[in-house]
Amino acid sequence: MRRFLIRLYPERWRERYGAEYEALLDERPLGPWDVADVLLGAVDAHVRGRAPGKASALGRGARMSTRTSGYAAMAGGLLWSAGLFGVTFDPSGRPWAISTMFAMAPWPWPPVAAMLVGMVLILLAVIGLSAVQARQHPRLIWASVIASAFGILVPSIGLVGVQIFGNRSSISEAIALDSAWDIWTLGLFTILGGSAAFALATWRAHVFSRVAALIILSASTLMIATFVGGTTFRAIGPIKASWWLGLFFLELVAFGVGWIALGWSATRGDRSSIEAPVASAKT
Amino acid sequence: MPELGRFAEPALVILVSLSEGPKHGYGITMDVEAGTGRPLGPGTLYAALARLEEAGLIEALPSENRRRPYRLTGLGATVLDARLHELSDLVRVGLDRLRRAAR
Repeated sequence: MRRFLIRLYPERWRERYGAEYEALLDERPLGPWDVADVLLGAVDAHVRGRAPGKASALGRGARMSTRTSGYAAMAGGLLWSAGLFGVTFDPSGRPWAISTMFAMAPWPWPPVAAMLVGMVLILLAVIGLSAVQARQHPRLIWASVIASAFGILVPSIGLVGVQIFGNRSSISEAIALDSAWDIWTLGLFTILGGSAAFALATWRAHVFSRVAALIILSASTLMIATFVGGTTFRAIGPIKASWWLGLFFLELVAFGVGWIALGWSATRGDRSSIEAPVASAKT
Repeated sequence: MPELGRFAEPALVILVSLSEGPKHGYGITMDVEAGTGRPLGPGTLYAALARLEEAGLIEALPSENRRRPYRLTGLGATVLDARLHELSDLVRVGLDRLRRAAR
């Protein structure tokens, strides 16, 4: 991957800086933010090669990147949670249950669109906010980015499938899943897993709000457990089906609040929150 | 350093890092991150290094096992000194005004 990234730079640039640049990339773990930075550097080198001496306006500095990613986290958490609530809310007043969510498909398009946009924003936030965490926990960060990216692609297919085909199994035979609902569920788990991995890295890195990271981590994990419980057991003993959904909604709200709080800490404290761990490390 | 555009800030912290002696790319990255708490991506680092070298503010030393150290030139030290004094004046004026406004 490192060699591929270096090959994106102009040949003249590589002749001058290639060897030392490769040594630098070999010495440090590369997170998604670093890869984006290298890609912007390659674009800059090409542009600058055509107009040497002129500074490029391409790309963004780390502070702007952190702030923008914070806004993406806030908007993504809000849209995704609101969208998921929208597809599970039945305005006709029928009793809710996780196990019957799919029966209401096709869902209204506005919450579906909110979920799709929210998922993309969460992925952008994970990449942008990983600038600092990736240095300390590169594997966790890569896992969260890959899971989030997978969690966007898969439920997008599932969501569109649910919208078009409902819960019939006609579209899913080719990918060996029972229904569009199953595809969507798999995607839901991956985006929750990606968020949990990112939250864990954030918690361990002491960079942004640890409380927000803990909320996201807890909510993501519990949502998966509740979803599995609600669809598998439905109603056993004293646990009514609607209780599963009520619990799921609470966790969903916590998930959205967690992302909004994390994004807020990044936009508000993009200076102090990043400097805090360094200051504590010096003491 | 008006011609550095968006790389003016990374360039300044790189010059400050090199003011204590020659460093290679990884050393500069670690020093900047430890000093400012802000990440310095490899693409940004080398975009700034190329501009600083072109402007004659830093110079490359012979490569050591693929790593090439850079050091401040005399011009670089002069420019850095002037820039830091400008910033120092700005900080002093800003703090004075804030104190006056708080009274």
